[in-house]
Amino acid sequence: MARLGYRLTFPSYRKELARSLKRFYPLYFLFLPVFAFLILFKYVPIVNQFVLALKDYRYIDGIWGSPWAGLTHFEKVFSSRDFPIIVRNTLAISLLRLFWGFAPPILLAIFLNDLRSTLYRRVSQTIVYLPHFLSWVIVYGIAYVFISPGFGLINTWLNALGLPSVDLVTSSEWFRTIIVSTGLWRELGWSTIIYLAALSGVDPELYKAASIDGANVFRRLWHVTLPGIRPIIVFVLILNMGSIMTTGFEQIFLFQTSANYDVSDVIETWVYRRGLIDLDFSLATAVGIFQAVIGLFTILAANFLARKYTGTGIW
Amino acid sequence: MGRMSWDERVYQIIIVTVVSLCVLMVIFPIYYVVAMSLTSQAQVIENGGKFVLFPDPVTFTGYSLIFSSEWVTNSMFISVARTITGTFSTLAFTTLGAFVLSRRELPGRKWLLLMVLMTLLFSGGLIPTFLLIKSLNLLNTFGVYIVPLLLDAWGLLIIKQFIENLPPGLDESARIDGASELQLLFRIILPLSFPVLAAIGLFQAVAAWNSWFDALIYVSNTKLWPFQMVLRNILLGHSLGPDHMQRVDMYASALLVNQQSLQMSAVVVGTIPILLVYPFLQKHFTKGMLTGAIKG
Repeated sequence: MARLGYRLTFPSYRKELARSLKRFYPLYFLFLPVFAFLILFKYVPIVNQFVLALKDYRYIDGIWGSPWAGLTHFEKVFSSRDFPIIVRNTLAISLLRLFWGFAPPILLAIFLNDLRSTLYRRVSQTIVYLPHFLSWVIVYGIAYVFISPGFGLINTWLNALGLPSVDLVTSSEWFRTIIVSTGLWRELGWSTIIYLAALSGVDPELYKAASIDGANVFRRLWHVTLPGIRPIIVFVLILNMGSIMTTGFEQIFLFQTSANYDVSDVIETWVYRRGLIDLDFSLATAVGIFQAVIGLFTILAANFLARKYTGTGIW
Repeated sequence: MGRMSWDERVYQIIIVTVVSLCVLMVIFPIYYVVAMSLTSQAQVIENGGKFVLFPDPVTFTGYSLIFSSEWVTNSMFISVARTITGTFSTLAFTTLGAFVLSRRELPGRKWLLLMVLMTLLFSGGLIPTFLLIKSLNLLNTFGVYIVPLLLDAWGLLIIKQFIENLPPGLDESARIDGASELQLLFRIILPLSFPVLAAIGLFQAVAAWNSWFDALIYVSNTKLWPFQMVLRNILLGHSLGPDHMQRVDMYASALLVNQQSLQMSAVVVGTIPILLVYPFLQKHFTKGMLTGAIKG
């Protein structure tokens, strides 16, 4: 931009600039609605978010008219009883998802890739991708058939085996399991896509060379396949670490019950309840900022690490 | 295609078993839900309150009750309306942005691109967005399903990438022929971009059909609710009508249909549009999405 100033002192440059602006004027005009949208719907809330959290919001005064409160809301948040619990729940669910959800897509992708019959592979892929496109309400409906306390299939099967019924819906001990399992049911197939793409990039000559050297199928898996997709594995792992502060509102909200808030309440559902139900705007916004800032930091760190260790990041 | 050795044979057995298990674990719940929706109350009772794998006779009472509820059919209409309007308007809006940002020589392009990218990293938060929507008088309107969603940042990046990868000769020849940027967009770029637009559009449509979160926050008028919101209500056992006169369990006690049967009918109805669109999704997404997503 400084160079622009220097360049503007040259008449030929000015003429050139005027000509290119004239040429690009229709493009800027076309972009105007997009620009306006970004400012209004994306950037105004960002600014308001910080202002709101630092003020004592009063409905009559609006965001800007309300009195300043400084950091009182943040102090309240960090010293409240709820806060460590919801942060713990958020991290616990994210980490459990990561732990349980990390290897299965890789394995399934490899297995799909190595299927002899292309027809069976395509059919299986089609079926297994489907749950990803179902809404969480539908997935909840399907899951409820299994986990419901009354005639849920799981309890029916347990009873048939002589075992007592288990409360899978309102209990605290099963909530995380249900979240991780239903999440896996929904996303396992879809998560294989990126690995399938990576697998197609592994040089087939390497497999031939390995088998000539006498490696059996399992050794080939370990020494050729897995190292071949190692960059993608690291990439996905790092990126998942980057979104560790988010849990996705919809699934948690649908499956949680007030009975198990001690494990099921995560940051996003807490913000929703305190902010939009209890109407404690400023407090909820303060927590929202906390999540967004930490989340931004983790995703930037993740992208940096991904670039450093695998050569690519999201940007 | 003879198997070469014992280890490969064992391997194939393992992977076919595992893949089949995964397929089964997807199919069985969906099948069971469909079966439940088609089971008559009589059969449930004679089975001790439990459902069977093969309903006989196949009864559609659940479905007819669902469709007879004005609240439910109204919400279906809302969902279809928002899917069609929303998808087209978002696609148009986003493609506009993608086209402009694909012009490499555009001064300030980097900054505009950064503006879009930033929105993916950091958002305004639940409360400030809510207050904004409120101050724009969009609460409890159909517009709240369309306007705040006009720009799909991910979609923009993917479409932009696609346009940038079109043969550069096109731009040149169009410019030589004296075409304006708009003409370039409509006569050349858009027709060529059909695959990526179809892919993004289909994803948009699925998301629109599936959405209920914005209704939860912004819409208290139950007549304006999309289908998934109503579905959630039905699953929670609440009602088939906003006045709570048609509680779901009342149907059960009237011995018309089992409560769960009714609920599963609603679930199936929510799934059908996805299933209809699914073959088209399949065709487009692996190509379109992958190139956009993996490009480091």
